[in-house]
Amino acid sequence: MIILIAEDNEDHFILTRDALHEAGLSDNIRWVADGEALMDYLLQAPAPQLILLDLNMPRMDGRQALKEIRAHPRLRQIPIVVLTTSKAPNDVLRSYELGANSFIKKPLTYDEMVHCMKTLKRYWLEIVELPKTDGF
Amino acid sequence: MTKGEKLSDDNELGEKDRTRTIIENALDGVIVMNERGIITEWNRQAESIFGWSRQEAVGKRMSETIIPQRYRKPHEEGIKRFLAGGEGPVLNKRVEFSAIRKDGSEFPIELTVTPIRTKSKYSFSAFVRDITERKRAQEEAERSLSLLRSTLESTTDGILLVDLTGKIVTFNRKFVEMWQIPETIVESRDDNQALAFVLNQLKDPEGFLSKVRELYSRPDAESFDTLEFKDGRIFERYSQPQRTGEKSAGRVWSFRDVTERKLAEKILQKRTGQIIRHQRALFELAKMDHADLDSSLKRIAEVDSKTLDVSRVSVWFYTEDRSEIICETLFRLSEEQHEKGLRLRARDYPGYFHALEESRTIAANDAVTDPRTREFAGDYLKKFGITSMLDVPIRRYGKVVGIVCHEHTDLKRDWTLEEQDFAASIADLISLSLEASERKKAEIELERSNKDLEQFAYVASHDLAEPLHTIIGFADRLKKYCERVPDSTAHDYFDRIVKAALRMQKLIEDILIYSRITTHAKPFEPVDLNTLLQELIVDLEARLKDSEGRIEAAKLPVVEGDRAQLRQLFQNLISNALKFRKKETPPRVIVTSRILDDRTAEISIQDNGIGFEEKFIEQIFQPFQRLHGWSEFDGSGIGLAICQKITLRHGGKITVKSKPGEGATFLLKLPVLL
Repeated sequence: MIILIAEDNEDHFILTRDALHEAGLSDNIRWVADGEALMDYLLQAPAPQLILLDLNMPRMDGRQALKEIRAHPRLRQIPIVVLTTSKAPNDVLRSYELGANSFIKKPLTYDEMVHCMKTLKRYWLEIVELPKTDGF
Repeated sequence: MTKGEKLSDDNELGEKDRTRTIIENALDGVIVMNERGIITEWNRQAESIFGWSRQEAVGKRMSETIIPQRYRKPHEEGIKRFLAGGEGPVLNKRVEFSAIRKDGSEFPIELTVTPIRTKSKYSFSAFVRDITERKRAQEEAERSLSLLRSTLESTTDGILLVDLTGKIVTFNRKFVEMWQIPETIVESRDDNQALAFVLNQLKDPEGFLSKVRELYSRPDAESFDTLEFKDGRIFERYSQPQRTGEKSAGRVWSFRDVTERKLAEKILQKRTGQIIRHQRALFELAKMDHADLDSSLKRIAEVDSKTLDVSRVSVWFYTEDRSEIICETLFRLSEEQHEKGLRLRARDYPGYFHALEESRTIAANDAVTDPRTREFAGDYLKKFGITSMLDVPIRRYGKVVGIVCHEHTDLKRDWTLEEQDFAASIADLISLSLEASERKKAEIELERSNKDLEQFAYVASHDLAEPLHTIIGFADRLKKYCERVPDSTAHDYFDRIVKAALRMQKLIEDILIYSRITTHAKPFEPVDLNTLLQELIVDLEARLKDSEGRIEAAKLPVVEGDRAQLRQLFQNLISNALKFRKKETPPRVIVTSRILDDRTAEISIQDNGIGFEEKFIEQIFQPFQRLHGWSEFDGSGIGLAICQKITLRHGGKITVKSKPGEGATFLLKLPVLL
């Protein structure tokens, strides 16, 4: 099981990673720092079970990455959860339009973060059963 | 009688008696005198004329009775001369003489003396008439005539008197002078020649002639007219009938030279017209929008040029270092075109620039010789054919900043005071225009910098949020680690860090909202405040439950606005009402509304909270103003500033009434949608 975090801010990556650990997902957490790195990873490595995607990143931002992933026949079914500090009402709508499965405003406190990660894990990794992708 | 009989013994008695009777009853006085000058006959009429009775007179010498002393000698000599065979100049014709009565009074008589020859002797018979009355009447007539004459001659009007047929009766010298009629024509008394001479001077001889003819056909008509001469003179003409008793006997024409008066009137009229034109032009220019300097200068130059009819009107401004003036606009009337860019160096024309500092206007009727402008004679005036200049300095705060130039080409021109005033007003107007455009520029600049500031606040707060997020996250994480260590002060410190950072987070969020009101504004749409408030109540449900609070809302209007912002506005106001509650009393918020006029609703949000002192009213709408410490009530201190900014953006107004301990009532005036 692989969880891929696309996040340009290393601090935020660490906090997210720690929260995931605390939620009981200690193995196979991968980190990319921008949209291009994310696409490179996806095109080369085995597909992750979940992508946590930040919206504002250098080079290629989360919105563009979303668009490209959803346009890609092999990658389109990977669940993507947008995890961002952006609070613009526009971003929520836009993210869903571009094909995000969920939109989560980064919680401020660590407790909330841990809580959030536990919910994500339960839903996306334990309840949802994904259909088989075309290419696999 | 006996004497008479004796003296006429030559005649037969019958004849004599008949003659006597005739003489006696004649209307005239009849006196007969013999060769020696002795009175021989004296009739009744003579008695009444002279006061001598027949008895007294007959036998006396003529010269001793009725002839005045001074004529006695000539009288006697005259008789002698006649008898000696000479002619008597007074004989056989009517002559007027002076005579004396018995009482010595002298009076005029008319008499005819006829010599009568009988046998060898002469006698003289005289028919005498007292003409005192006639003489007096005559003198009276003469006197009044001369009075009339002198009156006629002393008037300033030219007067001509004609009879009913139009023939000249008389005229005064003034008439001759005014019409400049040559002596020869005057003397010739040739009416036709005089008329021809008169007509020849007029602009419209036919018109005059037909009027004259018409007047002769209506002898009783009076008329008034103005005559224009070919040489520019103007006469007023009056014509009225001359009456003798009830009947017209002729016509009096009088003429008055009103050339100067008419000229003065014309000048006045022209001036008045000019002033009105100037006023209109200035009014038009004054009400124009002066925000764009370039276009206002063009318009001013054009209107100025057309109003004063000046071929070139230009506006010049000094350069920063005042070494040159640059032409901002030059309007050429003939081509109706603007140009700009010409430069003149101040040191090349020191006299002119000095005069400019010293004067209100430089009105150079002869620009080439005028000491103030002659420096331009060589290269500038000649080149453009400029003859007269009217230049006015443009001042700002008393300092000359430019010039408005009026350059007249063609024949030299005298600038009137009115024109100078107008030009000075134009300079003032340009000065105002400068000010207006500078103000406009400043406004645009201010608006831009305000926008920049808001943009900055937005970006800054946005970027501040990220690292803060990290701080909160790690501090919270560390706090968790410390929980494992009992009685750790570190845990308390990390707790404080987290709390402070959370407050900062809230602050940043509110600044973001505040700056977004204008940077992220949405177009207005109809917003139903009833549904908006219901949504809010649902959102606040948890808080209301905790505090046992209640929100009561009456029917609210539909307003035009930005929905998200209006929601923010009501959310802040109601949150405040719930937040600043009295500790022991459950919060209660009452929202009501009333229509003020067609366009405005007043919405009142009343609470039963702690309230505040009235002196803080101004303060609470300012950003970052807090009336309470952090520990009492949390919050950024921006909430009400956000409310005010949103209200203002919606063209509304927010006020508040409060007293400590008695709650607060916020009043919102918002434009309603009908």
